[in-house]
Amino acid sequence: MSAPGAKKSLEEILHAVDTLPSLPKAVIEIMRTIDDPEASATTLAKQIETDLGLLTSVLRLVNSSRYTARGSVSTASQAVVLLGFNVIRNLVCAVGVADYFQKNGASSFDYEQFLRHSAGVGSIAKSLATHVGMSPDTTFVAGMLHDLGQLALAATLPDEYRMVMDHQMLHGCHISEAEQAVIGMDHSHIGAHLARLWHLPEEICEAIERHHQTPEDYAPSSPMADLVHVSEVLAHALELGTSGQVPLLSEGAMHRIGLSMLQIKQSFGRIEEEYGDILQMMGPSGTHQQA
Amino acid sequence: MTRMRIKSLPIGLAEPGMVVAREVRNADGQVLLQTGTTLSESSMSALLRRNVGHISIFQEDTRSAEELQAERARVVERINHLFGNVPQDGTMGMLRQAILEYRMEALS
Repeated sequence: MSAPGAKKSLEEILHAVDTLPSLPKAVIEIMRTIDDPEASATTLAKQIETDLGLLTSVLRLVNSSRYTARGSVSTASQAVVLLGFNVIRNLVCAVGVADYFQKNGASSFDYEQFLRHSAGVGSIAKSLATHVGMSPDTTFVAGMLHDLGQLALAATLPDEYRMVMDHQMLHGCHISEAEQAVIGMDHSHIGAHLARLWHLPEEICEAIERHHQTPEDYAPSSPMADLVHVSEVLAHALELGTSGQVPLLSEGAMHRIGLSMLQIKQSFGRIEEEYGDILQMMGPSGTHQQA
Repeated sequence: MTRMRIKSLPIGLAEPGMVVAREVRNADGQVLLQTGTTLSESSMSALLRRNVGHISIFQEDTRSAEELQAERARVVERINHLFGNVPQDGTMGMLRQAILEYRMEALS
């Protein structure tokens, strides 16, 4: 074990991260099968019923004012039948991730802002997915989880992470640079490590790992990593859950996925509506500071 | 002449008579309501049935010309700050311009 204040080794960091609780089993199972054409409404309802917290969140939402025309919904199967498979699946991912972030956020960490930023990137990735022939459900999950490593680092190394944030403020640098300087590795690798540990689909793990690629690291990328990178830049430009300056957008990423600036501009309105929907799904902590 | 602005709100807070400012699509991208459609009880129920969450409507803009001018200046200043760390030309210049035009559309 390192002495207090000494930089921890890569192995020590990964070991600490490995001890973090995982996302609820039901949420992971739904994410794993998100593009499985065989996934059925019955299975989805059963998966939700295995997790009381998740079931409560889903029922709270489907019985909220947004769905008042529905009447009273008391079981997961009813919710799936009435609202549809895709809506409930997205909702479970949003609620599951929000609950997980809330439970595992360290005291040094602004979890509410983190959640809004994750929702911002998730909603942009989802809104742009159809323009580039990708699955909106998968890109949404990749966007929601892209900064998972930040939460993991803040939860496992709270003192060091406080120093990371001080370093970032002092030098006005990107969070990844501050993490490298203080801890010796950045959140994208930690996030991907955790996602692989949970056996999430590899394209989501890759997107988490590579979303900070700059135009200089053109190296072989994945389409989903490119889309999450573009979405992250746009979240800053549209100020969806972010307060920092806009980072550099990789032109290569836009070319590779075939996204034009015109398509992006025409999506701004839809993106802001989607973001509003997702914050509402995630409950009070999401909608709290929406205005 | 009455000036209008676009406002996004949850469908549960929309009211009959409001006019749709941006076409409403379902999860598959299919258009459910065109821009300019006036909302009715039945079209709102139809949107709820199709799980549409937020929609954009036109709302009377009661801000004075001076208030709008001040708001436009604030937007330009904010965008200059947001894009202060990146090149002003190329892709970043185009993105900056797209954001500026989008924000200004709401203030014209």
